[in-house]
Amino acid sequence: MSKSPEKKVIPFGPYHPVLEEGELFELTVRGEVVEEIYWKTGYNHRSIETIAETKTYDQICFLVERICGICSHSHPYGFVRAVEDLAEVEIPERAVYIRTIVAELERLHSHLLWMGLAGHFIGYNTVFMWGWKYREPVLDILEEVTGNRQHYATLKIGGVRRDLEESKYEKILDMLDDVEEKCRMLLEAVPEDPVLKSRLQGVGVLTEQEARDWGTLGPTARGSGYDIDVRRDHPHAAYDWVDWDVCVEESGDVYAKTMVRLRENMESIKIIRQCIDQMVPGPIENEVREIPPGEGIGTYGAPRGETFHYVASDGTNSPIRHKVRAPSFNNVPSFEASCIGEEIADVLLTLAAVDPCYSCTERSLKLTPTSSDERLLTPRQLLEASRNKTKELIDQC
Amino acid sequence: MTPDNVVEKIEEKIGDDYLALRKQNEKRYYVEIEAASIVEAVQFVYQELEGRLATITGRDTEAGIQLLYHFGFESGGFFVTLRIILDHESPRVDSIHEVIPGAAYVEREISDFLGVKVENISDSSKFLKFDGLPDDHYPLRQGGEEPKNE
Amino acid sequence: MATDWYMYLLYFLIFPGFIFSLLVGLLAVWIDRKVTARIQWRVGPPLLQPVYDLVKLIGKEVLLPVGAQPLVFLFAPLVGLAGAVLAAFLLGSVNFLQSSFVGDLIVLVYLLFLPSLAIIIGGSASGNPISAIGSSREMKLILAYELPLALAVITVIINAGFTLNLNNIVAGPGAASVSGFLALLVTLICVQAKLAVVPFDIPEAETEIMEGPLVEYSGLPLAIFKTMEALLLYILPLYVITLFLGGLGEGWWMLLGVLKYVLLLVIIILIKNTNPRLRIDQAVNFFWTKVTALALIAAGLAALGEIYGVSWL
Repeated sequence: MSKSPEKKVIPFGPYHPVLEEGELFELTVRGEVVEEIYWKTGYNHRSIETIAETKTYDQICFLVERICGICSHSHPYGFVRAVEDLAEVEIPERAVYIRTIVAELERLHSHLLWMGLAGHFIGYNTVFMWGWKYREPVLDILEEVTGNRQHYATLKIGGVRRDLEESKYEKILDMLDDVEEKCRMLLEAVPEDPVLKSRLQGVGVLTEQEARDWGTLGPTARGSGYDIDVRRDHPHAAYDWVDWDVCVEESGDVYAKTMVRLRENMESIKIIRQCIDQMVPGPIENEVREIPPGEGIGTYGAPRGETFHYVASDGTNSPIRHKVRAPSFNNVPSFEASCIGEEIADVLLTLAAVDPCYSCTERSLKLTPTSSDERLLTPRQLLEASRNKTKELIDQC
Repeated sequence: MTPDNVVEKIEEKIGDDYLALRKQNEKRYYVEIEAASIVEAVQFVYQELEGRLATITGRDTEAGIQLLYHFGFESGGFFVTLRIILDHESPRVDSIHEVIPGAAYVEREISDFLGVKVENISDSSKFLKFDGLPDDHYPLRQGGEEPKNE
Repeated sequence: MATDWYMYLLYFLIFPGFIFSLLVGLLAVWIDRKVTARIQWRVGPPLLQPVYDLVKLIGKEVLLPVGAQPLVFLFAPLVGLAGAVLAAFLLGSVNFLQSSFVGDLIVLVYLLFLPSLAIIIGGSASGNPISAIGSSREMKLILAYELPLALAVITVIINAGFTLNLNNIVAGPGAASVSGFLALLVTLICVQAKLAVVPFDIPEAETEIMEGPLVEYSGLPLAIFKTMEALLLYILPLYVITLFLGGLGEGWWMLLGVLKYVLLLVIIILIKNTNPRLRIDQAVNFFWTKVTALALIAAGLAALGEIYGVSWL
């Protein structure tokens, strides 16, 4: 073919099956090859950061838990770490172990969930359904430990809210055996599937330098040979007291990211076992009476990367500034390095491989105060606005 | 590496533009510097000291709009934060995206929410802000008037 | 065999033509969905779900996209459906009425091409960039699998003693020789692509381009496309049975024929559920190297067998 195909702009989003949340990626393609990507967010405004300024420290734990349904332990953990950093609180040993157990269970369920979704994105719906079925027992264990399958409400400043009864240890360990078997099966099955490998290997390669430059963390970075893990490098929870490995893969493609996650599953199970073994009796919280003025930074190794919280206090019972940075905010932009020049099918897979979470990324806009209801749209006005927007888009094409 | 080393080296590098140091605790240092030297400082910390830019926090305070560049140091498990203070009237700062490409998006967030004019930004279009809000309304600014409809 | 014109109309519209094939096709869709669901630890839909879906679609509003060419856009599904119904009628008459004419094999191969063509035309006419990508993928896929598919047909023709008559081919050796078996394998792989199911559902990849060419379709035209796809699920296994497995059979032998059909359907469903979707370049590569080589070997062996009179080749 002498004539090169003309450029087309393909919008992925704001609503698209590959993105569970509202999000816009405009791919400029020539034939099947993607030449440019424009990323626009701003469809999930919940004003978390502003609401946080109006709540007490105890209430904010529940608020940030709702930033993301999957990382509903990560955000409160980042937040309590920030406040504990600010107020210099010591955490009782037992509480640390319980926090770690919930954290690792969350990592397990998050990775299995991603595994299923990745299967769905490459049209392998059997993996989708099986991955999610294997995730169910993890949620059961979480229910056993915290009382909830999602939104665990475990963390509070100075400790945890709910003790883990000793009578449950055995049951949890039994259920964990079951999960381990499934995780091992996945870990062994993926490298043996030639079709799957041909679909994942060499796709969306992110080099180590690029991973560093774009500030990626978590499996996205570790899949590129960037040996970084907040759990190890900024010691918190019980990660210093147990024996575990940081999983790093060198190749930087989607396959490497998959393998990092599958291997981390096994590490998580190892960590939970050790935590239950080493658990000591004792109190589960140190009461915190006062939060002094100052600034605190909390960083936590979430399943997807690093959750970063910054809290500024003036000594009252609510913060004057609470900044949330979700892992996806740093991981998603790495598409600029890994996706250009790839084919559409690979680009979507690469976008999904960082396990993006958009409503976490955009958590903060202050909603217009409703002292006057002028900004509230009636259904008709909303329809009108959406029609105008569509017309605008058509005109642009 | 310790936070004291880092702060010492920064002070050496930027000289007079180094203004003040606040130690929250032994792992969290806050260094206040002149806004004009932010690119130089960030470049130094990122490339020479191998700090990782976690994010940039924007704060609207009485003293002015503060930007906090949080650098994590994996080698020692601590954070050193560079703080610059911009005036309320015409807050402007130089973009650091040429040093750290990943910072472009958080700079756009700050420009969206706080109305800080980021010079030499990679893309000045709205990123996180809802399209329906007026251009001159910045949600994270304290006080001010409520936005009018359209 | 009746020769009155209304009998022909009856044959075409009711049995073994449109209505009958549609019912079998919808049943096949249900089997597909149920088996898929069971593999994935789900419950699966009730028996009448495919019918409900069609009825629902027919009741929906037909939307015409602004940038579309209305005539082509609305006409394309009809072309596809017509092709599928004619193919079903042809295969049905061979298998149920033992009626056939010289060259009907060629007609059949062309008719089977019509549904894919309809999808390409419809997708291109809708004026949506996503449909355009889907259409171009469908085109590449056709270019990839048509050659081995045709080579497999040639193998069958040679094996059956150079006949273009489907009745003679049903009576021929089918897959009962080395070349015949290889051609059967090739055809099975191509059928997977012709049905556009995993691993070759690249043109419709719903998580990438949201059903590709069909993205702008709604209401009745979409229902027609869905009907066409249901028909294909009946036609293509029957095509394999006719060419390679000695037809559906007569009288009590027809039970065996039904078994053959269900077996083929289950094979298709199993392949679909144990593979990820390939990329278009990977698929084209796969067809043009491995599958075409296999088909060439089959045709070559058949020719050798014919020349030297070795029946097992």
